[in-house]
Amino acid sequence: MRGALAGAALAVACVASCSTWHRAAGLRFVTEPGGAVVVELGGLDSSTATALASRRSFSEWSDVLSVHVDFDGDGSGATGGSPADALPPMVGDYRVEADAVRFTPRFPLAPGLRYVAVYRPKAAGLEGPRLELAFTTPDISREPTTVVEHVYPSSDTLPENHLRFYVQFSSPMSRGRSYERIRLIDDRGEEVELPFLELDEELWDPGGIRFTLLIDPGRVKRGVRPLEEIGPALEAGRCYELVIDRAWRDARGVELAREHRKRFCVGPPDRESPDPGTWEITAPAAESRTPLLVRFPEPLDHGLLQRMLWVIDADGRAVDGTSTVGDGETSWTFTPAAPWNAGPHELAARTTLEDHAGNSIGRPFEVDVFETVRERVHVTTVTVPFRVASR
Amino acid sequence: MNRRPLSLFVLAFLVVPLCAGSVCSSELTKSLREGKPDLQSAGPLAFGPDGILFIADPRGAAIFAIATTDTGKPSEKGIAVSELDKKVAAALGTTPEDVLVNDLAINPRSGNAYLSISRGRGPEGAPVIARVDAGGKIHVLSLDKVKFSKAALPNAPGPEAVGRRNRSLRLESITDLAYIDGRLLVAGLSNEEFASTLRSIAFPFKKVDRGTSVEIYHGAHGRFETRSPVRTFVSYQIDKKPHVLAAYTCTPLVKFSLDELEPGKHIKGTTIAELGNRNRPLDMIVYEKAGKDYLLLANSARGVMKITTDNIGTAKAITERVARGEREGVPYETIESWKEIHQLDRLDDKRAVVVRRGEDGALHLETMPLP
Repeated sequence: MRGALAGAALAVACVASCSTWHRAAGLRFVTEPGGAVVVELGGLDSSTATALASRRSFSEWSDVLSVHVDFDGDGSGATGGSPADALPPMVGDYRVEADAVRFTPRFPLAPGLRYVAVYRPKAAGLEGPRLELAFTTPDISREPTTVVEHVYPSSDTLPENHLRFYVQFSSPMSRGRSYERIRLIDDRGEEVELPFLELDEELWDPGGIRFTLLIDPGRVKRGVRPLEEIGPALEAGRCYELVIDRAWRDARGVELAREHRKRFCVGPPDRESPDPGTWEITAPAAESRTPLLVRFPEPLDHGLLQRMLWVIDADGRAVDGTSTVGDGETSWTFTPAAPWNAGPHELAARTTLEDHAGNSIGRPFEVDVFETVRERVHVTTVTVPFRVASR
Repeated sequence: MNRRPLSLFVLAFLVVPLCAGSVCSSELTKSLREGKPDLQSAGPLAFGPDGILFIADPRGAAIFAIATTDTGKPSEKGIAVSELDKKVAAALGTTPEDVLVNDLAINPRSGNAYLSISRGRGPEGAPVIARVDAGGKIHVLSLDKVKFSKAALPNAPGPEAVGRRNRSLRLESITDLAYIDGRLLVAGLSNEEFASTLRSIAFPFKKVDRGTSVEIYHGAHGRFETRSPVRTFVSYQIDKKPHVLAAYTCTPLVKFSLDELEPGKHIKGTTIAELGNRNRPLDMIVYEKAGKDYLLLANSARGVMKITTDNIGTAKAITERVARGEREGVPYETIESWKEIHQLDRLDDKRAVVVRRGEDGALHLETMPLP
């Protein structure tokens, strides 16, 4: 894209400025080696360059040479109306180089936008005609290609006190209006009102492809007494669809390729803490890189499984390797980077590892709201021993 | 956001004149070093004295103090910018759709408005701080060479454990902050663990402690909660003692005594109002009118609430379930003329600056008389 951009810039530069050439001064958009697009006012004689070089502040500079976004494509962005209505010029840095002034925008140009560079010599008390040059950046593909790859939990039956979903996208997404794009529809086709905890700082992974969605803790049914007024978001015996709207835009600003629906039914609440004592461990043989397989009697939280389980060798060191979560979050496999050594090992788990209802190994979700946070955040680990047999 | 209420008010009228042009200012800025702050995101804002701007960086789990050197006299003129998002987009060379206004704060020294912005909605969205003056002119601050200091929030509490997967829990978000008499108050939520926390950080920055975990009784939900974060808060003097008034989603209003905030401690707030369910508070200020103090709270679903503080010190704590999501406790009126207000801060004794979404879908910066 960068190459095309430079070529286009030079072509436009000639069309727009050749007819108004004055003392060889001219405007052009240039792609620098690093890929950044800059605006160059070139061909200045030495007295003009010296006069311009006395400028210091951004506003002094932008009075004479400025670059504008032309939203309407008619040049109005560059001329504006009254000062209060005028669109401000793009921010960036000015540098005088021999017979040229270079403007480097602080942020890269956006795709598919029309930019106008304007040189006003009169504003600096200089002679010469006003120059104006427009340039439209190539548009990126607007083809909707991003999809929801998966919604965790994978299971189609969730406990009534289910707490957390993860929405996994195929590409980085935009943020800021995510909660508008997710609906929970019940089996009567009615939308459940405000079922989710809506956080200003949305919960995204650093890459922006995994969104964490929490059922509002105030809408999670707990205890024997149901919520009286608003009711729980999910009720046992009923079925729901989590609908991810196609209008959710990816990081390019393009809609999803299709809507995504996850249908699930709701079973009784789960108030039991996961018990590592019930996990089935299939130990690998030494001198192989056969994965360690751990099976859980109930599905556990996908996101937490990825970072709250690890393997410790006989020397108490963490074994290097990669893990995968499978079978609807009821299994975890670990493939070591180097072949297994024979001897005792341990599977370690943080006690904050949770099931779908937010029950952690440390305690059931229900209990902790009446206990102090200091106790609750006291994170420890539990270990389950296993032996890698020699061949 | 205006978190300055009475204490900063006092500071503005008492402390600054006493220190005029000399010691206090240099004391506060002495800890700042020139350089380029490594801001990863720009979230909640708050002003300290002498034009020092605090920027919360939720992505980087840090707070930056930046010397704006914006200490000129406030103008009588209000601040107004129509199509704010379009104009900011123009300055940033992008489209209005790619401009997210995260917070608004008025510099009490200069009366200028500051906005924290993301350029781009994707994960690479660049942090931007912009200043809007009384003439409505937008200046995008260059943070390449400013005097600043940084307070990194420590990882969530937990024992030292072994294993490469044993990453400590990290504070995922900072929901609000305020400068109060030499300390920065920071509300936040730790992700996964989900514990609501208030931190009181001394400024100039030294060490950041673990913070105080806070628990509230949520009347609409009929239970105690430790997992929901404070959405917005103000400091307020009750019986001459500093307090925090904090608003939560769905929508309890809770008071905490600032004196109780101790590192590592767990405290319970007093729920003094349930403002109605199915609602998320957005921003809050305190102001005085006709000799009485009021809170002004912008919300996602229930408009702007004007809440009386008359009996806030003696208000009965809500400790029982409030049925059907109704209102209870400290009363309020909804200001019908304030529609679609997303951010607000106090400009002076009589006026507020707001970010409002117009019927045209655009964001506008407006100055409005306090109701």
